[in-house]
Parts: sequence; structure tokens; C-alpha cells
Amino acid sequence: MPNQSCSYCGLPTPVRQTDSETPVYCCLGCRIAAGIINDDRQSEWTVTRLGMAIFFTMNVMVFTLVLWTWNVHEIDPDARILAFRGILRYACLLFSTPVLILLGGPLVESTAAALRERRLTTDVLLLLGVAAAFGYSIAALYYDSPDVYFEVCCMILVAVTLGKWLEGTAKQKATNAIRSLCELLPTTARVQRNEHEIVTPIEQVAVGDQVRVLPGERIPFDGSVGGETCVVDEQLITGESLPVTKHHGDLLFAGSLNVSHELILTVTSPADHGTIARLVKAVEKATSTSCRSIRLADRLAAWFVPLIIASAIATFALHYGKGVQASLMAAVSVVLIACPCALGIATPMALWVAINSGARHGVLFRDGDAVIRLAKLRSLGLDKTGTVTTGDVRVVSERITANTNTSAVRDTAQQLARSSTHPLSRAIANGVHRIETALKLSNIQDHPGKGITAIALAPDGETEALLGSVSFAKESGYTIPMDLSGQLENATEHNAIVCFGWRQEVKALFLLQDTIRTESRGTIRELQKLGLLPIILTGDTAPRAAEMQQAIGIETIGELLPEDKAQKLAAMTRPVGMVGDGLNDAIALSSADVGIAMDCGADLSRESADVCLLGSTLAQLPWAIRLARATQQTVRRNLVWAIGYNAVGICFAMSGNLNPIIAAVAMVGSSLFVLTSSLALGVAFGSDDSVSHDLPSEASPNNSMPRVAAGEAIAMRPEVEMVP
Amino acid sequence: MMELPLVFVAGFLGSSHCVGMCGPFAVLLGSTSSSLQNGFNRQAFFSIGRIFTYTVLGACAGFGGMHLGSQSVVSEWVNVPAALSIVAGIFLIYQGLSTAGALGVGWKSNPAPCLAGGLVANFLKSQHPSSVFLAGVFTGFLPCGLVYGFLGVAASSQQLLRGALTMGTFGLGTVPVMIATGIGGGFLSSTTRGRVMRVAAWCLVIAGMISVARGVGYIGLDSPDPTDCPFCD
Repeated sequence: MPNQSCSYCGLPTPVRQTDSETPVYCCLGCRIAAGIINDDRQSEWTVTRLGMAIFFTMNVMVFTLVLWTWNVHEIDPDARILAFRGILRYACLLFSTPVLILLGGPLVESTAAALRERRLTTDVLLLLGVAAAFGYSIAALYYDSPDVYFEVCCMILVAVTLGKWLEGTAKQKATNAIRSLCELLPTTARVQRNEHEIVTPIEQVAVGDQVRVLPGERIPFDGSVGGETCVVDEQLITGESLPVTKHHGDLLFAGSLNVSHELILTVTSPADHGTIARLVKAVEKATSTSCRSIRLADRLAAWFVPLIIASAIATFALHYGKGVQASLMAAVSVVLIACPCALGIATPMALWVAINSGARHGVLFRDGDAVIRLAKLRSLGLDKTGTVTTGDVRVVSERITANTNTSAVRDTAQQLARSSTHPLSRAIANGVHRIETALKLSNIQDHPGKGITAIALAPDGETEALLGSVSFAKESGYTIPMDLSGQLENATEHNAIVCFGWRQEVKALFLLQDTIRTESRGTIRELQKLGLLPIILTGDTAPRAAEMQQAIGIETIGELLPEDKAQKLAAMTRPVGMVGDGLNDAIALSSADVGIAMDCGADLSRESADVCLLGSTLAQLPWAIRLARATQQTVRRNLVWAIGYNAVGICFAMSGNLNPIIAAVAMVGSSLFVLTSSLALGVAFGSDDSVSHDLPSEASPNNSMPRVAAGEAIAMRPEVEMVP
Repeated sequence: MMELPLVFVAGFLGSSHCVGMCGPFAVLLGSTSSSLQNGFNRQAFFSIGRIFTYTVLGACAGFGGMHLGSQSVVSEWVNVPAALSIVAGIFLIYQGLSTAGALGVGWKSNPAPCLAGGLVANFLKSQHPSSVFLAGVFTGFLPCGLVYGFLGVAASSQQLLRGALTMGTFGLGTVPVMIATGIGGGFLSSTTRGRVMRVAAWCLVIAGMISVARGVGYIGLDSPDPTDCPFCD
């Protein structure tokens, strides 16, 4: 079951939300960070708590320093100094008690909540350490011993609270990329109603409304082009930097930029269901779906805490000979230096950053595992359409047999073609639709790789109608009339041929042609450079496949049905990926180790695909693979650090040479290291050459941000940072 | 002891540089005050907070210097009092010279990362004196070359009390200008401010030179006492 999302950083939180009103946070750090940016009374108290605790801690530090001075200089203690020393120690107690209440309180709360859900977290270790040090110090006061450790408690609590705040801020940065998308949408729209134009807030715009968008503005809704042809920049969604031409009736994505003249669009979905909103939700779902890598990390972290407690007890016993004080401090150091948080967050954080960064560039991963599997790819199968060819198939000519109602044949063929999304069907379906002369169709069935059949109501009764490949027609027992079979032989290798007929007789032949893309050669080169072996798998005829192999330069296998494609994939070097549209070749995509679907902009996800490219070209795939590999490296680096640091730190602490304060600070530093290393992944893949981005704070209608000097950029940054 | 007045003056004049970074906080304080009297009170609490932080930092620095010089490994190899004084002095001289422009490199004031801005601003807007005091406490931790320079001097004194006094005096020196900025919103014209900055810069250089002189005087002494006047025998 997917987890809840933290109200501050947007990452998954294991806490169960009781009601939808109260915000839920994944950690104490997020709670503090949210308190700092919010303006209400409740948050003010959170921050004031921290401030007062720091004030008291500073006093305790000075008192402790004075006590240490006397220890350092070994002054012969006379009665006055002894009395002063005693006063100072009680002063330490007086000033550290508020710190324990102010900062220890929230810690106890979050630990209790975690324990109720039977999760042992780092906070348990921290509380144990602080409680041990404080308890010992009070006992020392009671027995009038000179060794008090109040400063240890205070410094630990302050250092840990500050560290958690920084962690919360870091986590929020991980999801910044995708959340900043929502801020780019305009808040109002120009709605045309009854000859008037009203500026309306976008929440109040309904489906079916006509909205006018000026050039340079972002399109606020998903909609269809109402007027004439226009040009839009869909980089935010698909990651492609080249503008796209949209014709009348074409779909527009919310969040794309109008770069031509003003356009009118008819709204097809409300503001909160637009592409950007759904993209954000899709990313949330991807990050919260618990995948294998993350579950492994959780299990690792689960037995870690009991292990640490056991080690601490062992340390105490080990050093007991040197006195209670030394052994207790050594045990406290063991408890404090252990950082199960680094272990627990090493894998998830990098995966979350990768998912967010990918989504910002038009690459949607299904979950964290998809990222890792993409990184491990060794070979790649490519569908022909959209990769090698433009995806625009055109009907070059149609031949309809004599002695038949020509318009009925054509229109019925077009009707039947409209029920499929196959590129060949779509090409046939294009054109003027005249439903009146078409036969009525029912019981439409799709046969992948072969064609479509339906029951047609012909003038002389019901019959089966078929639209599909020549072999499918022959298989189904259709005969080809004399005048058409001649055409069949004359057709060149360039064409794909689709038959249409009913009552076991082919009535029409459609000759279709697609064009080979030359720019895809560059992408294929990049894929080869990444060490993958791309092979094109297509259902086209063998001569056509050979021609494509010549043109593109990689192995092309033709005449494959979808099941054949799956077989070919199984024979390639594993792990193998398959790139297709996710609809017509769902079988092939599902059978590959990584299914990659293209052109997912409208629906954002395909069932059979692990990775969805929102654009209609392969251009983002090399980038996505590089991101996945960098993520895998980051995960490895984080895990090596987390395990190595813990091993070395705990051993060192067990030797009894580690100061508890340094242990606590090191622990905070360790988890910050893991977080920073994961964020670095996002930075490296956030500003990419192939996808030129503007700074997130774009408010001007002109999309181009002037190049600023480095100094000005630093001066500008505070404003950007302050935007939550 | 004798350089404490100089520290005060350096703080007073150097605080015109402080206006760059800490000035906005004072102005925010002033703008959210209900009256002049109220504004003055809040500015005072803000400055008391800053001085508190400086004093604590000075005490820590003094302790650090003492610890370094007494029983640590470092003291076997290095004449710690001498080293601390000389390093602190050189740092102050460098600060002064670069502010005066004598080193050719312009003084770039790097704004602090705005993590601090968000945290402190909350306190500054509140009317309660304790919140303003806490804002001052936080502000004292902001990275500042001037503060570091004098922390070096505090460390070289190798005494808790002396270190605390040094930094406290420095803080007191910055108070008049900060309060004036907050109330008046900057009463000096930019040319006057430039001139004052140059005088302050040379003040820093002189303070630095005194520190170096003291350090040099320690070289050759077995167990130097930092309370000695550097110009006496």
C-alpha cells in the first residue's frame, strides 16, 4: 500500500495520517523546517523553542568551560573555589533542564509515535544517550563528584535538532524540481463567453470553455486547439527543446508555452487534472511505491538499532574496569555515533531524486526499481515507429475493386480504422469522415500484429469485415479479386499494404508509406556509445527492413509479429530493454527487462512500461540511461559510506576514545553527507545541455532569461531560495 | 588589557562594514516598531543578544587558545601564544588592507545564505523582547571577517575572561552604529561611509600590528604571560 507523503518535502512518510486536515511530516526536521517558513502561532513556538534552547546551551557551555579551566590549571582548590565550583555545577543543571524540556520533548514525542508503530528509529538511540548522560550527571551532583556532563546533553540535543532541520531542508530540495512546475502555471485565464472575454481564476474554468492564450504565455489547461495551426514549446513536459506544430483539433498540454501567435483552446480537463498536476501526482506515486531496493534498506535499518544497543552494553562492560564514568561515556559515544538514518536513507534518497529529476525532463519512472533496472541495461530493442521513422504514416494510394460502392468501402474502412491506435490504422482513418455511407459496425475485435475484424451490417445482411495485413486476410480465407492482385504485385518494397474487405472478399487495398528520420541516427550513436547494442525489431517486410538497416546502420529484423519480438528480445544480451509505444507492442514491452514507452505525454503512463518518455522522440533516452547509471553509482556510494562510517565509528567509540559531543556531530554529518551526495545527483542532471531550462523563478512573459553574470546570479539567489 | 580601547574603536568604526550584512536586520526591526522609544528598546535588546553571542564565542576562543597552549601535543612543537597572536594579527592586517583597497582586490560582501534570513526574520517581527533578543543571538553567529579577526585576538589571550572581554568590547563598539542604522535607516551618506570605512580599515591594521608585535615578543620566552603589556620589557 503506498505511503503518505510528507506535507513539507513531499517524500513518503510511514506515518499513518488520521485526518486530511493536519499536516503530516516524515521527520522532526521537516516539522521544524515547515515551522520556520510558516507564519502561524504554532510554528513560531517551534522556532522560539530552538532559539531559547540555544541560548541556554550557550550559558551551559561557558559554565562548563570555566569548570574545565580549573581542571586544566590544577589550581590548589581552596574553599572559595570549591564553593564556586559547586555553584557552577548547579547552574549547569539549572540551565540544561530547559534545554531537555524544549528540545527533548519533541524527540520523545516522535519516538513514542514510532514505537507505537513498532519502528525503532535513530531517535531512540539519541534519547538513550542523552538520558544516560543526564542521569549520570545528576547522580554525580548528588554524590558530590566533580564530573558532570550537562554540556554533553545540551550540545547533543542542539546539534541533532539543527541537523534534522538541515535534513528536512535537503529532502525538500529533492522534490523541488517537480513542485516548481506547478508554480509556472498562470493563476487566471481569459475565458471567452458570449462574445465577451472574462479573466477568470483557473479553478473556475470549466470543461468546454474557450480560453485565449497570448504568445509567450503558458497554457493553463489541457485542451484542443480551437483555431488555426499554432506552435508550442512542450519542453516542460516532454523535455524536447524543439517547438511542436499543433493543428486544429490537436491536443495541447497544460504547462506548454505558446510561442507563435495567440491561440484559442477548448478546455478538455479542469485545472487540477491538467497534465502538470497529473505529472506531479504520478511522481508522488512513483516515489511512494515501495520497491525492492527500498524495502531492503528498511529491513537493514530495522535490526541495526538493537545491534547498537547491544554494542553499547558490551562497551560499558568492557570499560567497567576504568570506572563507571569512563565506561558510561564510552557507551554513550557508541550510541550516539551510530547512524542508522544514513543506512536507511542511502538508497531511497538517491532514487527519489532521480525520479523527480527525470520527471522534470520528460522521463517518468514507474518506481525506484525501474531506475536501477534501466541502469543495468546491456542491449536494447527498438520498435521502428517513432524511433527510425517519423511516426507519420501516409496513405500513398488506395485501390478499390470495381463493382462496388466505392464510398461505402472507403468510409467503412475508415470507420473501422478509427477504432485502433496502430499507426497504419491511424493513417487510414485520417481524412474526411462521412459516416452516412459507411456500413454499421459492431463487435470490433483487435488482433495485434494482424488487423481488426468487425461485424458489418451490409445491405444484404450481416457479415464479417476485416481490415489488416495481406497475410491476415489470406489466413482468414479472404480472396483477392483479379484487379487488386495485379496491384499487389506492382507495389514496391517501400509500401506497407493493408487490405479491407467483407464477406470473405478483399474490396480495397491501401498502400502506406512512412519516412525514415535522419536525426535519429545521432540518438542511436549515443546509445551505442553508452555500450548498448540497439536492434530494430519491426513487422515490416524483409526488403524494407534491409533498406532501413542500410539507412540507419544497425541491425534491423523484419517480419516480426509481437510474439516474435518477445522471442528475439529473450535471445539478446540480458538485461534487455524494449522501446515502443506501449500500446500496440505491449507484449514485447512487458517481456523485456525494462519496457520503455514513448509519446506518453497525454496519458503519462503505460501499463506495460517501466519507463515512460513523454516526448515523441528517442532523444531523452540516452539522458535517462545516464541518469539511471549515475543514480546506481550514487546508491552504491551512499551505501558504502553508510556501512563504512558506522563500522569505523562504532569500533572507534567502543575503544573508549570518542567524546560524545563529537560523536553526535559526526552522526549528523554522516546523514547530511548521504543527503548531499543524493542531491548532487539532482544538480548534475538538473541543468542539462540537451534540455535548456530557465531559472525556476520565471515570471516574465518572455521566456528567455538574459544571461546574468555570476555575481548577479548570487544576488538573485536569495529570492529563489525564499520561495517555498 | 591595553588594547581593549582600541578594540572598542575598531568595533565602532568597523561596524560601518557590519551595516552591509547585519544592517537589514536592524532596519527590519526599526520598521516593525510602533514608536521611536519602542524601536530603541528593541534595537537595544537585539544588540544585547549580539553581544551575548560574541562574549560566549570569545570565552570559547580564549579557552581554546589556553587549551592549545597548555597540555596539547601542539604546544610541544609550537610556541602557541606567539603563533596565535601572530596569526590573529596577520588576519586583522589582511582584513584592514583589503577593506582599504590596498591589496587591489575589491571588497566583495557575500550575503549570508538565506537559511539565516528565514530563521531570524521570524524573531525580528515579533514584539516580544525575548524574541528580539534571540534574533540578536542568532545574528552574532553570522559569518563575518571582522568577528573572526577579533576572535583570533581573543584566542591569543589564552584566558576565558580575557577572551570574553575582548569580544564583548568589540560588540559594544558596534552598538551605536547598529542602533542608529535601525532607527535612522542609515544616516551616513555613501561618501562619508566610504571615508569612515577607510579609517576603520587602518584601525584594523593597527590592531593587527599590535597583536603581531606581542606575538613576536613571545618568541624566545619560555612561558609567556599574555597579560603582559607588549611594549614593556
